[in-house]
Amino acid sequence: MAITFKFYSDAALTTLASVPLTFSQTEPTPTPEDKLIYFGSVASGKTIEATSDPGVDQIAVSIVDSASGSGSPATDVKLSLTLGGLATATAGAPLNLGTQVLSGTANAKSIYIRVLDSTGVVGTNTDLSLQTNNVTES
Amino acid sequence: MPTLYTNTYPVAGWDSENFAGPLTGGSSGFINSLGVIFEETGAVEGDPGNWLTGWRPAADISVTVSCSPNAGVTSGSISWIKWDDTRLGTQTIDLSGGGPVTVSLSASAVNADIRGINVRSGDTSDPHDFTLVNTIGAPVVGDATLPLSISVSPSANVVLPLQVDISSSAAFSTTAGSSQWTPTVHIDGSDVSAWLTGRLSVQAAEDSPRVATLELVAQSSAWLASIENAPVTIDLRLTNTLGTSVQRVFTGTVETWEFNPAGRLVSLSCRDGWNERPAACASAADVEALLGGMASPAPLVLAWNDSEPDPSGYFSGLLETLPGATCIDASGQWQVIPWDIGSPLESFTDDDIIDESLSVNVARRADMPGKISAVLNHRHPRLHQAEVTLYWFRVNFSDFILYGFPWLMKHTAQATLEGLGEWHIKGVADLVAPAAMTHMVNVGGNLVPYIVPEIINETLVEEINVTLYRRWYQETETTYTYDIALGGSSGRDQSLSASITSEFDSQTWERLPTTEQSIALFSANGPAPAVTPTGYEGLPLPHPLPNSAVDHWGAVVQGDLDAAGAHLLAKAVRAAAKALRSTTVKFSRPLDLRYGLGDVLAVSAYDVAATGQVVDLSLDLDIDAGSATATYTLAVPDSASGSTASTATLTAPANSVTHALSAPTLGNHFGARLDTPSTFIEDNLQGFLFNTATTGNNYSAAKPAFFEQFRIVMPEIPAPYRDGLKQAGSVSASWSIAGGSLIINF
Repeated sequence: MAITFKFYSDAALTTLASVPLTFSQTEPTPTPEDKLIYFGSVASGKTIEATSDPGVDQIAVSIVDSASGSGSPATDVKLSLTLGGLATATAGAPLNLGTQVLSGTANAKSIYIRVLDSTGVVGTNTDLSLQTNNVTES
Repeated sequence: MPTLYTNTYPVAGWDSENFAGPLTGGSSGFINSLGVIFEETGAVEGDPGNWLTGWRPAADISVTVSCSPNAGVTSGSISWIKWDDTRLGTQTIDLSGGGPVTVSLSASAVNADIRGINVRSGDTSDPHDFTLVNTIGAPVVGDATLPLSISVSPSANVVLPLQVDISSSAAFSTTAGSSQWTPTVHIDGSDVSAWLTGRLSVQAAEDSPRVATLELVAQSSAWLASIENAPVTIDLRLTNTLGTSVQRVFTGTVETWEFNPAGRLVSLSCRDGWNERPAACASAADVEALLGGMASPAPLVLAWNDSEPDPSGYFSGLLETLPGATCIDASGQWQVIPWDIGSPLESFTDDDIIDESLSVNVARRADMPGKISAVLNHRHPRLHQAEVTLYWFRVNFSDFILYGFPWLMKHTAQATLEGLGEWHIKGVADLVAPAAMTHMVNVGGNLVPYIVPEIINETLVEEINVTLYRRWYQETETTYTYDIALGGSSGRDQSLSASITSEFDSQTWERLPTTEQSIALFSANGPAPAVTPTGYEGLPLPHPLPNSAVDHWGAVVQGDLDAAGAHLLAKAVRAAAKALRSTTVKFSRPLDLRYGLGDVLAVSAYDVAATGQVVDLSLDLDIDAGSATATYTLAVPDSASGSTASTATLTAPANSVTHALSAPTLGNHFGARLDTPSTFIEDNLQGFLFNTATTGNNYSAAKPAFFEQFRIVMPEIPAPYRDGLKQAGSVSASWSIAGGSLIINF
């Protein structure tokens, strides 16, 4: 049985976020690119909680770097629940979504993503991903 | 008396294989028990309900017994016993000491249904009581079950891969002289780049799907059959001597394809899901979220119907209030683009654009109205309440005596007051009866007794004090208008209007009478009401103040009005912005992947200097010829602000209605008397109309005589308070439209 909670590209949770979610940066003067995705489930009556301590531990979205030292570093990415929060968000830091997330469009979590390249190296980097901690759905 | 001796006296109570007694029984006297059968309580041979029916012990049974008094011999015995008294597995036991004695009865001896355990003392003439201390069977072996319910909850990490395309801006520099570009096309996850031929184009515009067309050589008919609605991604890599750029330029699906068998050439038309996203919304909130919360919803103007949802229609209606545009970007993300024009991200000169590609399109005259008006009509009732106080008093007692004038009867007065059509009695009419007494009346200098008899007096009226009220509604339409002057030369004005109605059952409100219209119940010492009646008991709300009016909005509240006003103004602002943004500057340059819809660019070439916002983007590539161009269309509205926005609040006009209806004068009008006038102003004949008695003084049959009545003619409602009313409300609003710049100088 698979988790029904996913990342979506719109608040109505009609379309899954593109895989991979692409950001474009232009050197030598890159400018931040922001995108908005949503985390939720269209199933009815579902809840997810952190498996480590359900209802207590935060559900966190982390920036995972599968190739530390090459490609794009996690610190090139900021996450926030609001657009205005991106300015003050800590680069590379995970984003807490709460101790539980309920299904339904009204309960979907907005996740603002800002990417600003720091490498200055032209190329396509696919080493980063957004990943939640282990969550259990009930 | 004969005595009986038995070795099989029944003792009931052995009810389980593992039994803990003591179970004691026996008999003496007429029946003397030399031995007993310990059996099951209520047992019947062959009864499947008996635990011994069908019982075959799994192992030998330990049995402990005793007897009292002690047996006289040592040759007692114990066994299983069948219903026919056949003994099975008999063993000798010594009960000469009384016991208890424990033996092990053989399980294998039970080869048929038994009745119980038979214990015999061995004596022949001494009765005994016997005790079954216990029986111990084999350990219970079986399946213990505990139903379990186990729910398996899925757990996982939810992952979204990211891709960061880092490009060199130098890859787009024209100083390199030439560049190489490479498309990468995936259809349904397969790389079909090697099959590309002919032309490839991607076109994006505001509030419309991003479209891609491409040509390739079909590899098989099976592949052709599989590609309809297949997901498509297009990436472009641009390389020159100065740098490299890789960008995704399209994410969507195959919409249709056209096959030319001559060269097995297939032309694909692909589209993103811009139309499908709104259609997939399940609620008004979902649609409003698609518009980034920037639209101006107004349920009374643009309603969402839960019974018959129309998300596409609701989206289209809300889109008309968005100070921006929507699209799906190259990576498939839904975007809301505010119409804000700030500093350009890039400025292009002659060297940066393709020769003769720059053009300026000024807004059509027909697209530019002189003004755009936002008009909201609010229909609601104005509820009026007018009151008039009436007073009447009888003629003098002497008139009764001299002229035989009649008394006004209470029922006549009450009937008149209750029959005044749309006028109703407020509270209770005070119909004052004359005191029952003998009045000494001065008639011509002489005191004459005039008797008002008791009981009869209560049917008469000598004074009336009553307040009558009338409620009515006036259809009112309040109009809120806000004009946006565009100064266009088309000579036409554009109006965007909507109407909202406050639903209210005005007819019921104005006609429902008070219930307290009956003649007073109590002639004396009536109970005082706990709360002083207002006179409005039984009347539906609202209650305007006496002689005033209230504009009744029903369920509509100020917030609804403001939302409707903001909705219409936003619609007008967007219409104005679209009209201004129809002035565009278009140019092409070598393939440039950096900019998309909503980006602000500037161009200064060929006597034209412009700064505007990208509203249309086209990438055109020729696989065979190698050409690759990007064409940008910039909206350059003639406006002064940097952003597009609007706010509005509405204020209804103050209601200062005051009613001052004149109360009719209720007098006493006599007929058939010598001094009765011959002509009358009928409107003045109000009050008690009566006639001189034929035996009264100055009676004249030749004079006008009245039908005896109590007559009241209430004042009419003035037309301005009755006829439909149109009034103007006020709008406090602010708006702005982002402006670009356009200078043509030669």
